[in-house]
Amino acid sequence: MLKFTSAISPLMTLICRRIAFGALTLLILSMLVFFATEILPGDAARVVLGRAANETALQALREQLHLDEPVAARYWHWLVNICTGDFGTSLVNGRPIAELVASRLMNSAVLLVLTTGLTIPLAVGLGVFAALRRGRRSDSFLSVAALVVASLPEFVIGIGLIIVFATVVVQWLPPVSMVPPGTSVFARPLVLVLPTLTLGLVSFPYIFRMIRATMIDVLESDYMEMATLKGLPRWRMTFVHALPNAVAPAIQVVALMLAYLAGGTVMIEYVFGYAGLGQGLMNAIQSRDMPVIQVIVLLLAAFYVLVNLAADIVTILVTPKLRTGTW
Amino acid sequence: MLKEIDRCRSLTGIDRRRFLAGSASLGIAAAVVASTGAAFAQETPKSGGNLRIAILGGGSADTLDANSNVTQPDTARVLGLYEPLRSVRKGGVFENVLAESMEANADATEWTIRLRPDVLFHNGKKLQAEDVAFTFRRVTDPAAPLVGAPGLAPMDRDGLKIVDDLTLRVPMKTPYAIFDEVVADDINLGIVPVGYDPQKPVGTGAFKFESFSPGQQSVFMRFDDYWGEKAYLDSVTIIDSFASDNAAFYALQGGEIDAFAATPLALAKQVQEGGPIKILASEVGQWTPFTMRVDQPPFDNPDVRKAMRLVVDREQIIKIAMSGFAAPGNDVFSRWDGAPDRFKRERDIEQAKELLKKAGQENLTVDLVTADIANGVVTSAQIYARQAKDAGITVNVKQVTPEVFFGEQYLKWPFAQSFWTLKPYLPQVALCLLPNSPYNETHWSDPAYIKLYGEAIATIDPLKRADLISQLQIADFEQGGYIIPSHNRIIDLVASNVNGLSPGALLALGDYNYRKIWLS
Repeated sequence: MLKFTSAISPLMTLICRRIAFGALTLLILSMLVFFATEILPGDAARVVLGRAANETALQALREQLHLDEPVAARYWHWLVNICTGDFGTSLVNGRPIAELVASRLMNSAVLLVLTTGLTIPLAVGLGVFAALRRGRRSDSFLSVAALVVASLPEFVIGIGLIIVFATVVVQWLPPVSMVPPGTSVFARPLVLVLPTLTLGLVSFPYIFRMIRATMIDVLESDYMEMATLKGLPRWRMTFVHALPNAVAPAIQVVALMLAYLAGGTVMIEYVFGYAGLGQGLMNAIQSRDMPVIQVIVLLLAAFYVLVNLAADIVTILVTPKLRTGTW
Repeated sequence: MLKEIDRCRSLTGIDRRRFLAGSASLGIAAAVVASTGAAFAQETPKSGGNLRIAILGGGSADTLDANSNVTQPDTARVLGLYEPLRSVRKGGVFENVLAESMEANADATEWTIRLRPDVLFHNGKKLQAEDVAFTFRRVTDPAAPLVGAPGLAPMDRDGLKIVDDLTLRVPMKTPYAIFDEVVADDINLGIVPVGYDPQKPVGTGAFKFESFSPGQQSVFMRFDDYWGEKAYLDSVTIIDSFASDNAAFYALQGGEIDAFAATPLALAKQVQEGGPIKILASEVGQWTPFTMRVDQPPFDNPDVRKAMRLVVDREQIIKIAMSGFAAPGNDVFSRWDGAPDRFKRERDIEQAKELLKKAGQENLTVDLVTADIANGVVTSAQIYARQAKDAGITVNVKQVTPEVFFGEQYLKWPFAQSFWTLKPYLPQVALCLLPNSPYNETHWSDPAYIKLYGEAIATIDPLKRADLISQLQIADFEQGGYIIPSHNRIIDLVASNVNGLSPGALLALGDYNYRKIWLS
């Protein structure tokens, strides 16, 4: 019993500490986001009124937007509002930001979940397979293919897929992923195929290569040799003894990939005209819609922090060494 | 890609896009239909269907306001929802739309507008004189003047008089003979009902509002109580979420959309004749001038300005920068007015060198500020710099972002570029060549010119007015600060099942004439 508590409690402390750090990071991020958008040239009133702005109108609007208050006070208002779920309204079209962002957030989330759900099992499976058949033709083929795909920019892959599957060669799939506002992407699931495929191809090589490399290390370790000598079945050796140890380093790569998928899909959304968060951010930046920029950047940052937190915790859970150490 | 979007946004230009009407004698809006066979042949039109149109340049600032649109997709939406009193058709011919007649008194100090009877708004209200008065007052509100305000400035907005349900009397503060040209503005002077709220857009157009998401898409349904010939289409969907011209082009190829309006010119070259995609080219005469500030050295010297104009190889700029989709310009705008054939400026390097020598500017070096504000603008700047080199002029092309271009320094750059849609001559002068013009890019301010202009807008007799216009144009040609290399076309790409379109006079998709379009 004693032993049990001593094993769990440092872990709990650790997780709690990590969560506290995550919250602190988010707070600092919120400051960065707020003040970075604040120091951009031109004030919000000018943005709203456009080039036809006159002094009286500007002054009135500045008061209405509380732009005449000190910056710290405005940050405090903003933070309190965000924390209570009030994201404010867009400067450009006066619509609630929550409403503007929600559907885009959903679209991005769908793309992210689908891509991750397909890519990770495939990359891990093929990584293990390649490691087991190291040096053979199938391994070389997979490794070279992964390298080639990894060296292609995502928009090249995207446009290549469009040319092959949607326009020039065959027209099996929609070349663009138009999602009418207010409808779910699942109303026309076909529009998800090409963006998911592109993102999958972009992220696949990193995980594949990582798993293959760590798996090879593990397979060459002493305890695997021991297991072989003991005559354990090969599948048991691979999946029960080797894989859990090979997976730990790959978790960080997966976390990075998730972070990339959340924010870095701008290019994919651009190529396919997909109404995701990245596109929303781009729109907001182009129209200098500060409140929307702040909310989207904060969302992406929060996701980044969460994913890294989760990755750390999972890494600790699968690595007994880290679990028992004094942290 | 950011550039791409910005370009299209500024293509219509924040608050710059007004074209008033054209009093034209010459019809140059001849259209080119580059497509094989009977692509645009008329069969019996079929009713029904949803037309899906892609158009670039949308964003969060999109609006449905009848009198204050910002982006290019705004124009596409507004033209379906609202109608002006009058409209310009091909060749600069005017046509009454909601007006039945417009008459001025003898000295053009008062206009009487008679409205077409039995016109209904989408909400069921009958069109009446009070709605026109409301619209005029809305546009010229001194606290928040809208885009059409400068054109209506001579109007005495407090003196508008409703004579009866269908008659409005409009007094002018100064004689204003071109009022009937000015109100022919589909983009900014659509008539809205009393109490209009842009959040619940109501107009008299052939399509009524259904849904709208800024920067994404908007849907419009056929208005069954429309006063004129009703539309064939059930609905029109305008999609402006595309960030790149390629995505929109793929969507058209893949059958996800039916038309790609106002395509980048270079893209039109990728379309093969006889394929599933048709090209609709409209000779709309947009112009993308170089602007020299005539109040600043070295351009304060007319000889330098003339030399700068003489070095241009117009054909080369058209061929490279406009992909061939343009006609030569000769430094005079509004090609429907006056006698455009009289003005011809050929490249003359020797004369340019002589003029520069005379001005003491033999090794002239100037900065040219450019931005991706319209099709081919940046390329034109680069080509111009190379052409000017032949006369010993060093032109340093400084490219900035459209935000910077239209930022603090806008209208102050000594040597820059601009973009205009075609407008009749006098309303165009009011916008760009008078001391109080909102867009006097060249800082042109000439007492004799102002006097002539004042005479012209007070002259009702069209022949006399045309003569005055010619005199003004001669001044532009000899002295002006604009270098106008070309009058550009608009290209639309449409799927082969889209019928009923004919080239527009001013805008894409036959001036967004959705009413005539049918799908087969």
